[in-house]
Amino acid sequence: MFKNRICKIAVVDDEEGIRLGSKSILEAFEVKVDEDKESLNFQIDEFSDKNSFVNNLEKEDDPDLVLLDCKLPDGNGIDILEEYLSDKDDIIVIIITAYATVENAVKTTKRGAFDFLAKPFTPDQLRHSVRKAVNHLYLKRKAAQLEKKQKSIRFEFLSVLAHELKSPINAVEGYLDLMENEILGDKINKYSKIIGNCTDRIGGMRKLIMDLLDLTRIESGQKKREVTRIDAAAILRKAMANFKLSAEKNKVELEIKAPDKLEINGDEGELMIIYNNLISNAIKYNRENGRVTAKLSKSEQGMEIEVEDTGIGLKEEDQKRLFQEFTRIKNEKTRNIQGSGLGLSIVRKITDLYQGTIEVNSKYGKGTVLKIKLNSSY
Amino acid sequence: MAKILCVDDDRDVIEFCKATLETMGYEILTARSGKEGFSKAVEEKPDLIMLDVMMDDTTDGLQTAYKLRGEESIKFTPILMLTSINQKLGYNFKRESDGAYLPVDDFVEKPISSKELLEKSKKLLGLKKEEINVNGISE
Repeated sequence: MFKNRICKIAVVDDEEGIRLGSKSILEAFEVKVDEDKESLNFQIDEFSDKNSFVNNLEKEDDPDLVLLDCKLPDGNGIDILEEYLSDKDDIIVIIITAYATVENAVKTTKRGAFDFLAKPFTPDQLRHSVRKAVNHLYLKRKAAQLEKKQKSIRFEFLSVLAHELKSPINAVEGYLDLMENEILGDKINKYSKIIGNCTDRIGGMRKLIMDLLDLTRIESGQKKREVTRIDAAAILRKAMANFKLSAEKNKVELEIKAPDKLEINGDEGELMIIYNNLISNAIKYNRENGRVTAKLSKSEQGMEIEVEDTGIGLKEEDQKRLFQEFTRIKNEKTRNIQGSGLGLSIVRKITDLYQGTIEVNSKYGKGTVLKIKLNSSY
Repeated sequence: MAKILCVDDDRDVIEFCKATLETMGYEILTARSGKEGFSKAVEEKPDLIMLDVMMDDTTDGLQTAYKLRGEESIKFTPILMLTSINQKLGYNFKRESDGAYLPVDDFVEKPISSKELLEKSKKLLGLKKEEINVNGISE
């Protein structure tokens, strides 16, 4: 935030006494900013007139803070503020003035000065004003840094998203080209495989868009939560039943271990999203003749759902990345499995709404257990 | 009939190329990574290799191209590079400008058109040994 933990101050005043005084006071001064443990020191550069200061602005590293006298032999501090410093957001200015009038104060702050000091000022007044200015500058810089970081995360998200949306379009476009040019002849049944592929790609894209909508609704808080007394066991049975076909297709057996009834305070839709994502992953990343076991039980805080598969498992380094957006573990075993890469990121966000926890237990080549605890007593 | 090896991690691209090229009677072999592509090429000695750029990592295809050219037994096999760089960066690879450092014989931009794929494959299959681009490869 400050280079080498040094705040550079330019003192621009034609009175030597002010310059030397400020220099000796501030060089011995230290400031702690925000939560930083180490303190900040000051380096003072002196300027006795407008010209020397302005010329220096153009070639030297800009100062962090300027103590600027209103009346200089070759110019006016307020003019300097307007002409040379107004577009420099990263410099904070304290005006020094001999005329402590309200008019002056208003005039200078309107033109972007942070504070003003009236001559003669005491060392404490100077230190107080500088401390305030430095803290303000620190927070401003920190906010700018955060904003930049958020922008780059956003950008990253969008570019991955664009890529994920583009691939199925490319695929379908290619298949249409084959049909348009009758590459496989003029009999429609020759195209059944590629038509099936098109349907798959479009289905995958729809899933991505639905997941994306879920994610943005949860993130923006727009999704209206309907927390009522719900039966987590009945919802689990419903979710498992919905996957019957897809389990058969993948030659995977489904098993439920749950009490007849388990009531919690929660939103049925949210619980369904959690179940769906866990079950769908357990089926997709399973092996032929594998098994998916969903165990539901009561816990002290609410409920615990555990979904276990006998599938391909996760390497340790991949487990950490699992809940990041658009994480899809790429290897020869997962190459042909479709997914939006958003499912577990949504699950994590919903779990957070219940102040819950997620545990991953996985052995590469053996299978994965995902355990989610939801706190429903809030 | 000519044997073509198609190397791409995208199964739709493989499917597309296979369907298109088989209509000409070519025999199609496939691989899903640079590593697999290289060993298949050495083993099967195809007459043409189609190579995607971004597979296991962003330059897998480029690295594989250099590796293929460095392998004496298949050094002069024509390579058709499949890229989607245009969709990402708005830049088109061309043999005239990029062939100087990329040892491949032509480029096809995704999404691929079947017509272009057939034309370019036919052209590359007809290349003579001395026409193969082995630039960037030390003798």
